[in-house]
Amino acid sequence: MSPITSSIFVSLISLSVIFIILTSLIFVIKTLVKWMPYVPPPAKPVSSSGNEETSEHIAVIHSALAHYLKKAPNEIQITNIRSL
Amino acid sequence: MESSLAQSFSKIVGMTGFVAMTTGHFIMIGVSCVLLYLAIWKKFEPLLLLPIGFGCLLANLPLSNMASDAEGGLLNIFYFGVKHEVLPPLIFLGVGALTDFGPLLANPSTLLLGAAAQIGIYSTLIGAVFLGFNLQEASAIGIIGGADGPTSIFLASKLAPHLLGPIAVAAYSYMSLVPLIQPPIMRFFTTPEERKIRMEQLKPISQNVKIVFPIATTILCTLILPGVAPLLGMLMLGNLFRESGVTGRLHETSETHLINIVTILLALSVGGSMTAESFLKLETIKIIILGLLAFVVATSGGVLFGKLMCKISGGKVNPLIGSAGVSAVPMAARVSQKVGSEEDHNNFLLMHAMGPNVAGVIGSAVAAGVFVSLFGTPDPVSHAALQTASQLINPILP
Repeated sequence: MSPITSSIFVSLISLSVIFIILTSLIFVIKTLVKWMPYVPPPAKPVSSSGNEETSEHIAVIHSALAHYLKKAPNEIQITNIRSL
Repeated sequence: MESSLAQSFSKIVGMTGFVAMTTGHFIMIGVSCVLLYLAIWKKFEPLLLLPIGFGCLLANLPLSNMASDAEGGLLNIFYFGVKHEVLPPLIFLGVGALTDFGPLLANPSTLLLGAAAQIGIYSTLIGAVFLGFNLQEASAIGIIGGADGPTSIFLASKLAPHLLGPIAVAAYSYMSLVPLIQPPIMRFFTTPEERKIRMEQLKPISQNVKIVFPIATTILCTLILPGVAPLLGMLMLGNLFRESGVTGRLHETSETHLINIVTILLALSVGGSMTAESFLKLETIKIIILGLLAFVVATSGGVLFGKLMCKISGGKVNPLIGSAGVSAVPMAARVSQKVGSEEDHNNFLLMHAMGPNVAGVIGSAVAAGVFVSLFGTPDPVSHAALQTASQLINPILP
């Protein structure tokens, strides 16, 4: 077998091996993702005993929301804040 | 007294490097100055080309005894790390610690783009054999197409140590030129409409998947292809340091101090191997040309496979991310982003391109493992296993 022919055979075999291994990895990843799905972290409820900085944030959000909805602040009650 | 002064003077003059200077030394000092210029003033891969250039300079100053092949020379001691396959895997450890596999795990089909881009390796292998290199040398040259410096050094030191200098310089030079080499090829093979394709946002991946993936990959790949263990094993260990969340200090060390120290040693060793005798050959010019071919074909292969995936998925995959399959993390992914944003300023391809980019690292490590399995020296255990396999397969495939 000439060196060129050998190199073509080696290339075809090697490329096939790479595709086989990486395709196997695709199945491994898909299986892992199916077994261990992503669960978003639970939203933390707003606690009234939060620190001063959190209370300030809630007050600002409360005021901005009331202004946006054109309602009085006492008509709105914030029960839950989630970061997007 | 007068006579001994003259003798002493002539002895000192005779011991200076000027007397031993040859034309080869002059040329190689010029080459080292070009590398230093590219690194410092043109900012082409400065973290690598600067120590390589300075290592080359030290190795070519006559009588300095600094070359990697000089007995007792300082760079020869550093070179032990290359010769005994210590330094490239340690670089992979750092790369693993630095790399987020999230985009790859969120879109695993991009692994195929990483596989497709490896075609550059094999076209170059065939080209190298055509130009008169043997299969071992051609494999070491071909891996330049993987656009992965440590893998190129790893394989060259194993299969063709006499070509280490030119291969390393070609690999790192072309890696630094990725932003210049790839865009014209990407534009040539894609239409403006294809370049404008916006890809869906990647799904979040659970932390447990990120932890289990490096372990599962190491087991699977090393069992299929034991030769891949040094590079892939270290890459995955580095990533496990990152994702496990329990080895903060090891993760921090791997991605900063360790990879920096190893880069200095590796690059100096490679520079030290660039002596006039080993570098000023016709083979070097051939390797430089083949290296360019490797990058061009690898990029083309990735983009064309990206087009195929675009057709199959009904236009959901932007073919530009295929070019990132050549490895060269994260520069190739940035190039995909840049070329994509030229058509649509609000098209963000970077994270999508990181998937094939990381797949390219795994793909080139696997390609190196295949070459080691085919052309490396088998140890007694694998030799016995090879004989058993031959006895089993020969009756089936006469």
